Amino acid sequence: MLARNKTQTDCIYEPKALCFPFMKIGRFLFILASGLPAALQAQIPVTSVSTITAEIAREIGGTHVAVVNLVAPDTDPHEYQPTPGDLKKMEASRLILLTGKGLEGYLGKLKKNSATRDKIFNVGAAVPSLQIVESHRHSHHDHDHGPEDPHWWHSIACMKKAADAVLTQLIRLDPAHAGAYAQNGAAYQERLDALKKWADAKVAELPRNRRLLVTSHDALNYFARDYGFTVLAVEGISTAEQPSSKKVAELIATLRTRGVKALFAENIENPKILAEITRETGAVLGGKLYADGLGIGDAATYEGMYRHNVSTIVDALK
Amino acid sequence: MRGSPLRSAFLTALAIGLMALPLWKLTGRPAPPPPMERKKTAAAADSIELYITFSHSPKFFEVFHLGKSVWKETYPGSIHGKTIPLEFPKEGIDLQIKAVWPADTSPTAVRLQVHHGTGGSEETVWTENDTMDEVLTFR
Repeated sequence: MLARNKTQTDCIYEPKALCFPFMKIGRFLFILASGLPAALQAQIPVTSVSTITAEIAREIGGTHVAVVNLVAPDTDPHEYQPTPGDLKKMEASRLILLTGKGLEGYLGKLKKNSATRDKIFNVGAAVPSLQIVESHRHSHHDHDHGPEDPHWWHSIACMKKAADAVLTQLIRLDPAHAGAYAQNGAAYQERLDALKKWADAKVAELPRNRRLLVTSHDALNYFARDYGFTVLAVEGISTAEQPSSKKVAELIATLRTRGVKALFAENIENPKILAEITRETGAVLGGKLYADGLGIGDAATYEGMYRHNVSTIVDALK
Repeated sequence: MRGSPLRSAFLTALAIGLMALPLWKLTGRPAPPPPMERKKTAAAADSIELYITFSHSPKFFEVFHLGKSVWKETYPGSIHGKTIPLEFPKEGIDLQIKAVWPADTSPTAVRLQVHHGTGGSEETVWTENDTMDEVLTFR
């Protein structure tokens, strides 16, 4: 009986099986006509301009959402500008997710476009902001970051609020699958809670008086606030802001005074200036951090990115 | 024979006073640590005094500092105190506490009080189930 069942199954998937070819074609067409195409057609098209919001949409949307992420992992969202092709993808979607807080300098253009205007959802607006220190504010390309630090995803508490906000949007667009979205959302929240527990314990291994975080650009203030770090960044909030020689000299003096053991580069930055500072101070390069979104390999997920950053920081400064 | 009422009152008060100490020792629970503002015997500069109070006694608890176990007890009572040799920098310290309660224990309040050379602080957390794993910051 078991052997017979196996043979029947093989008829469907084995091209060389000795079974009637028209039966195979018929079954194949039946499968196509019934399940898969309908599921694909029902998917809500979502566009994201951040690896972070793309992950949230995928985790909560599951099989009911088709997410197109326009900013590739391991690239700099500060430098991204939508291409005409990207704009077409946005126009074809029902929801456009932004991280907000001034990171997307092209937001004004999207708001002027009637095909995208009503689909924009600013995820960052759902989370409380950290204000940028006045000396770090700057203009870049055709935009100004404004008073809010846009790198909110480095706080797990902010990430949880963002996930809730995306959940609400998906339910609004597709109430028929509200139950599935809620279930996926709850599961994602549980994973974020577990991640927070792990991070709390890992950071607690580092004495509070050694929590000085020297990075290439000023993107980890939300993390610093949550875990009692002081951030000293070579650059400002944007990756395009270059440090003056005076600022570098001041930084070297501070690091010497405080006996900082390690500095951190970013996945998308040139660590040349940090290397120069290490030569002057005796500190070491503690590893690369993922500051502006998800990376590749073990940092391809939010959890992986967060674990990588926390472990790199704590292990280097201990 | 009846004596004066004043003398009777004095003898009664004396008898109650003499019985009070042994009765308290037999029936009383350990006194909770004094409030922070009244703490006079501050810990030495290179150590802290840590008090833990549980509303329900756990089966087990353990306290970690910088990832290392500094105190653990099995089947403790409700209130505990211990001097732990660790420095208290001006930025404060993080203590991780793990505890396990018998199954179906009601939500439990756990209070940690830290006294150090220059003062003290306390934190209270509530459990949601039969285990607890929390990092608390003291400044």
